[in-house]
Amino acid sequence: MVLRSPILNLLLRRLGISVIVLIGVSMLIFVIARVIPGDPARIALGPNATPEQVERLRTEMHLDESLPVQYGYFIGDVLRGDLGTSLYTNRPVTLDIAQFLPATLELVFLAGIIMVAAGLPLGILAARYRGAWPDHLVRVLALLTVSAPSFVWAVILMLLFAFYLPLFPIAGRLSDIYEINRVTGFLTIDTLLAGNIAAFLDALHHLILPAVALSLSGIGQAARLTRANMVETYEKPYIEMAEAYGFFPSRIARIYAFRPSLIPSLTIIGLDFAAMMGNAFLVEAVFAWPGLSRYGVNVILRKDLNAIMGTVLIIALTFLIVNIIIDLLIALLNPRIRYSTRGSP
Amino acid sequence: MIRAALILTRSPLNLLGIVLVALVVCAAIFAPWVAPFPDHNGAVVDFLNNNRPPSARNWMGTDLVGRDIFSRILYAYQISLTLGVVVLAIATPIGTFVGLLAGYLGGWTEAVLMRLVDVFLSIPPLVLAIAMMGVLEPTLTNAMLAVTAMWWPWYARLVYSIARSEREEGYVLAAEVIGAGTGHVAFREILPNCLPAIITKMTLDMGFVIIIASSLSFLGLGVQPPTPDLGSMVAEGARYLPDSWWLTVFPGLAILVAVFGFNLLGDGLREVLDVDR
Amino acid sequence: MASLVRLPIVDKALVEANAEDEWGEAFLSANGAGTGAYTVTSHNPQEETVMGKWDGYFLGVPEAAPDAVRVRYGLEPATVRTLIAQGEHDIASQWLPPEVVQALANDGSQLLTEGGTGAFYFKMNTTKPPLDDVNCRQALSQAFDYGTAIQMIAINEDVSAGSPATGAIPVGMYGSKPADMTLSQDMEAAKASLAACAYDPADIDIEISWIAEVPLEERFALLMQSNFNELGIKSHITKLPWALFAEQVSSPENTPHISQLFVNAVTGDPDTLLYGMYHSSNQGTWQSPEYLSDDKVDMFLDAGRTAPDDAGRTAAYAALNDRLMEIAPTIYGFDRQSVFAASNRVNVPALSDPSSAFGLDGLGFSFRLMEMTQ
Repeated sequence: MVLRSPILNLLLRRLGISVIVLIGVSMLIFVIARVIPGDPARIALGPNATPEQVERLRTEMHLDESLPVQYGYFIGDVLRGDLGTSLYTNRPVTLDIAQFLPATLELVFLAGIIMVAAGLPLGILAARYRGAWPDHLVRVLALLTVSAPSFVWAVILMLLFAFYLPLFPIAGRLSDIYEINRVTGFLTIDTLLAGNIAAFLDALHHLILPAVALSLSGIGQAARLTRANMVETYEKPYIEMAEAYGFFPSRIARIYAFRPSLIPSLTIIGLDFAAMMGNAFLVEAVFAWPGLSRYGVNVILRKDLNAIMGTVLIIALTFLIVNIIIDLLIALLNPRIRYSTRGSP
Repeated sequence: MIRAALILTRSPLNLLGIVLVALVVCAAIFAPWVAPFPDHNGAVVDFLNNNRPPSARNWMGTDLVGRDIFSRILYAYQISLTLGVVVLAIATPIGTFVGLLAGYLGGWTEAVLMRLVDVFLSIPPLVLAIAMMGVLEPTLTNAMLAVTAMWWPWYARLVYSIARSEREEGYVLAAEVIGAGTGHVAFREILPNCLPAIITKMTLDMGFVIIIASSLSFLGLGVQPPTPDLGSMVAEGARYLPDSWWLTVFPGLAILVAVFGFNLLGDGLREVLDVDR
Repeated sequence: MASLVRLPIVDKALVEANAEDEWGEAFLSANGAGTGAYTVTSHNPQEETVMGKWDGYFLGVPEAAPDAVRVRYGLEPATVRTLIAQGEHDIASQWLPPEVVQALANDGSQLLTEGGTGAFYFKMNTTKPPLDDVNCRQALSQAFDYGTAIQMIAINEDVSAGSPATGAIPVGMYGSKPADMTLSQDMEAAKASLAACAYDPADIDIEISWIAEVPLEERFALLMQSNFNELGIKSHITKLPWALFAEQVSSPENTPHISQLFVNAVTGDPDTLLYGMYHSSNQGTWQSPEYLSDDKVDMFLDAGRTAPDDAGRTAAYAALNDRLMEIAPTIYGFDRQSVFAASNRVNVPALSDPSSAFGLDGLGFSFRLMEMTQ
């Protein structure tokens, strides 16, 4: 075989591990869902069902079988793309997820972009002036932003920039005046597809405040990590050499110190993505954002089993996919680590 | 030890961290004596004084049933700190044990244990805790359980990565050569070298656990009323923005102050103990 | 028939052609098939339902009625408050907390009311110890602070979300007591009742639930908890989303000790209010978490339903009212009035002008009958 491309090898290896992890995740979710007190069939049918109806549903849901057999049915359904019906919306869970996931992803992606766009420059600044006041300031800022849960930032931002200074909308994804045909579910993309620039700006306007609230703690982490990596690089001989040659500090920072530090920063972005998918639960609640996380909270409060399992499974899957992409990016950026796997944080 | 303490107090930021942590811990311990309205931690209602803005009588205002918010924040610190201590006291040993075993033994043990850790780590931590609380009764004990379940894998991963690199070090090989048993090498030789990293992580995590626990109760999945809890106070108050801002802003700042303190302290410790993340 | 008032009328052929399950539920929750004054143009169960005027409606749709209606879901009261104040929303549901309604009124919003047909009840599970003992139930009823409850729901000097209760039947209905015979807290009587109760107060732990969608109920839960504390009875508070509550009441063991409910007489007649709550044939529905089974109550309810004239009905319901006070299955909190905050761009005669009001619960809040003034 000539297929010995290291990138392909890495991809296959990561996919293999991901499949094993996903099976583990599905077992974990299944176990959690079966610990639920009460009879899932009774919960599903509501208070007016007769005992016969409950019994019939129990059989349909295979609740009378042993746990491993039940798990087998569950996996079979999942593989066929059938996640059951949600009690909360009375619709197939897959339909709900398809409708709500894009809103969450749009939010998390924009938050990720803000995090990188603000976190990396702050980190570079701190590293370049290490030991001086910009460094200390960035350290305090970074520690401060990770010191409050994102719902506190969301509430504070909302109070300041939506209530006191009404600069941003306080809820929703798009103003009523725009009717946009939903193709991808990402409103920023759909509005552009429709060629409606005003609606695109409106969607972006709605996105900014929740996305900033979501990104704040990530900005701090990204800045800290970039700084740490760059400081390490600054101690390398080739930087001293460059300094000795009298290169401009800004040039040294940009080209010689930052580039090699970028790779470890990418790994942290992958991890922060996980944190953001979790924190989206909090931010969506504050901004009435109709995404998957808010759906998750609603179905959990209603003990809507199918929807809980579907939501957690999809979030885990999204997270794994993003991390595979990031691993590949890292491998493409740096030939030296094509062969090794990612280190732990 | 004393030298480390001296270095720690040299930086004003570290000092600030120590002061904040000391304040929060004292507030929690002495809440019954310090709080202006000690009985307001429970089911007390005072509808003659409800929903009042901050005043000389109630420094941070009163909530919708007339309880003093400042007093409730002091008591809420009790809950947060207890939860943090219990979670870390359980999660750290479990994670350390798993990590040591996987890192030192290698082979199949490593493969199985670390895949298990990967499974837990591939669900965003908060999502896992939320899902668990979704099926459990919302009580303090269950909240501790859910947070612990999502916490131990991080310690396993940390200790594992240290243990794996220490495995090849000279002192470990020397101990093995003179016939020391697996347990002895793992716990007497390798573990001490993991301790600085573990202690630093625990300090930083104290703040993190407070954040996660308050997030759970913000969503209504944590401690139930009338027990005071910072997360549910923020959630409850957010409904009445912008008019009754004090209901939300003070509990939110209370979380910020406590976590900021632990983060400053942990960050200082990391420098002093020279731990690389 | 009480239950028929809310029967959704749908296009049978359309539903049957599309239904996959027995009652076409899956189809109906995603598609429109009704025959109302508005048709659904888009629906997102987490966000909003958008409806447009349907001119084929059999009663006709007035010109002034809104052309399109957006019903928003899951918004926090703070959000609703701001959207109405900014003129983006026109009318709120009746479930906003009083402080928020008050803030809106201060900002110039109009308050609309619909009242006189229902009450707010704290229902006790009569099958669960210690509430299977009538003396314990009496003790809790007498310990409840009715006066404070009324203060809690006042919006301003003129408008309140309710008026003091006088018994099981709201003032003005058949069999109700006069408006000045209000219930009030009586700790001495409560202590005496508790002493007569067969259970040891030290062993009692009452579960007080509140419906997660109605934040105000949390405060009533705290009020009860502090009242019961004073009596020397422990209690704990549980928050239940509506869907979960509806599931739990289906079995007496899972039904909490105390459930808080706003129940309406669908047609303004006590039969439509009380039969569903107290007749032993109706146990364990969302409005009957008492699981009451009392021969006399059944007898009076049937008598009230079948009595030929007003006098007979009044007598039956008066006797029922007395019996319900005696066996205390419920703490009769207050007679409820729905308050809606609305922008000044909308005119709702059915909610502001008594002569246009309906005797039917909830009918005043019909989009067809609203008038847009701008």
